[in-house]
Amino acid sequence: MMRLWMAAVALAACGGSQESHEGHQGHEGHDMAKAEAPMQAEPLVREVKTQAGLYTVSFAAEPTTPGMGDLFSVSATVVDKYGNPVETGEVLLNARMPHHNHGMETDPLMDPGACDDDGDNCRHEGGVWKAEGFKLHMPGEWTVTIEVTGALGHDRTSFVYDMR
Amino acid sequence: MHRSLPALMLLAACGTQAPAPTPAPADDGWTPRQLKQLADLRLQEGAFGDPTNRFAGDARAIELGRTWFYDEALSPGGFSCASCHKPELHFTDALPLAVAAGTAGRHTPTIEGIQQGPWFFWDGRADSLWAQAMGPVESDVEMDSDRTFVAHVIREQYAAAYEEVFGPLPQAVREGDLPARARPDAGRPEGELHQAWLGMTETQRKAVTEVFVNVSKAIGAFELLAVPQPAPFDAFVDAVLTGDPSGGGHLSDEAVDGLRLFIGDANCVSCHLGPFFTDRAFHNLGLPEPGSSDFGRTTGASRLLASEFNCQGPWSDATSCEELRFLNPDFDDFKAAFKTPPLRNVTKTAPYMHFGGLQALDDVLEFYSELPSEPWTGHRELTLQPLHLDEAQRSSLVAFLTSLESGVRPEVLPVQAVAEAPAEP
Ligand SMILES: [Cu+2]
Repeated sequence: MMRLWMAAVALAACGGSQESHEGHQGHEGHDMAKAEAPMQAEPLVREVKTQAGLYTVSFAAEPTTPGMGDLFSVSATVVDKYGNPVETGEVLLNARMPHHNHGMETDPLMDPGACDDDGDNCRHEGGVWKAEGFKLHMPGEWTVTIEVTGALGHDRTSFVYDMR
Repeated sequence: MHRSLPALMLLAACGTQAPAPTPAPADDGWTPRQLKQLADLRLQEGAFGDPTNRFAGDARAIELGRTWFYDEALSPGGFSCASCHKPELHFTDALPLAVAAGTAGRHTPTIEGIQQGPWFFWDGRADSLWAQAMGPVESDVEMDSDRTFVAHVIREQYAAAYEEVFGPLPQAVREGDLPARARPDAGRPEGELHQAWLGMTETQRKAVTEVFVNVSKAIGAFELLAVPQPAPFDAFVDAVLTGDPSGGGHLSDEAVDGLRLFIGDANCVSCHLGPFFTDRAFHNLGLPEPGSSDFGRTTGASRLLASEFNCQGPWSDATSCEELRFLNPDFDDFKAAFKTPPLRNVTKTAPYMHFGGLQALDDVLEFYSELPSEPWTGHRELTLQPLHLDEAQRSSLVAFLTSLESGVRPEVLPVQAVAEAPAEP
């Protein structure tokens, strides 16, 4: 298992990045939040393009609507702009509260995928990357960040999730 | 009192329906979001378990745990858990800092409403109730006892009862050929207790620790029962959720004002959430603690990871320890952060905060109104902004908190107290 480490500086840079507008969630639900927030948190499920358009990521929590302060797993299915699954390279998944300037209080672990006997040459079949140990311990806006390094190069994206 | 949950189920069902235009609530009405918040804060049914403690839920172990929680014989100086966790004060002691064999560095927290875990103590340095229960026994400023002393007491006074629940006392304890007092004491390796501990055989040390663990698991199993009882607030929520926005008269108008502040503008619910009004997490409030050097959760997380009594340790009965596995002791916001206390019966457990430095609830609300002090280290939880509450608002919040009062469950009182209690008129 590889410890997930992302520099706070790098993360701060994406704090201002735009929220994805390609989510599975309709806009109606989100706009309604301004007037009167929905009763339940939305599912933490999004489909997002990375900033330079190199990759598309289908991100999903398991369970899809995590409870406040509960541990949960996440998966990111990554394909490049030609539709090829990103099975090798690096995908980093993280979440932080930019307005509170803090990340998760846990130290999530990225699943290494299927590796050879030496633990090298790991492959994420179908471009599915998983991490365990996510926890959103406070209500409010969390920014989920996704960094992909694949054959086409490095690219990143983020989206906002409202924990309630 | 309504204790069934049909309203909750109805509410959950609403969440799956297509979004409908939100009607503007009447003055005394509740929005869907507020109804969800109320439902979240209502006391839930059901007993708490503890995967690390195979005696959780074991009636005989619980009864022993009840005896030992109140037993002053478990320490040489005559202190018990209840010396500080006094049931008549909702398991607190009305003192700023705990005083027993000495004066502790922190305020005595209640044991009511802490059962969800996953962390125990103000700094979360234990991840089970039984591991928590061990700490004060071996603290020289609290019970000032030690595991070897406890093993002697069990052999001399409780052997039969112990063996009925936990199996035979280990040979090394049964033989009794142990120093009167001994324990590991990393803080004072030259001290008598630690030296006596080093003088014991490995078998003796293991035997003594085993008995100490079992005694603690009994106490932990007992403490799992110390959940708050339903309060007027819960009856209020039931009434609201079953269609009476006035809440059946269970809360005064002032208390309802306080509740609306609590879940609304004051946003207390940001951290005081769930049926026990705690997020079970750690926050640095920047309390007025001149001269403090208490790193809180930072130290607590490291100590937990190093403890042989944690979920992954040899004495735990758990098969998986997810919380511990993902614990990040280097999380920056752990610095001088302390666990959010539960709020049920908070009106009866003054003084407040981990250092016991705020005398009354009004002082707490005044602190949140002004945030006059800065953290001695780290930074204040950024979600905190001065609330600028006026006197009427502070008073309404206290009125609301008063609606969380309930009596201590009889099953966690000492046996004789229940027997001697006057019959209900
Ligand atoms: Cu936050």
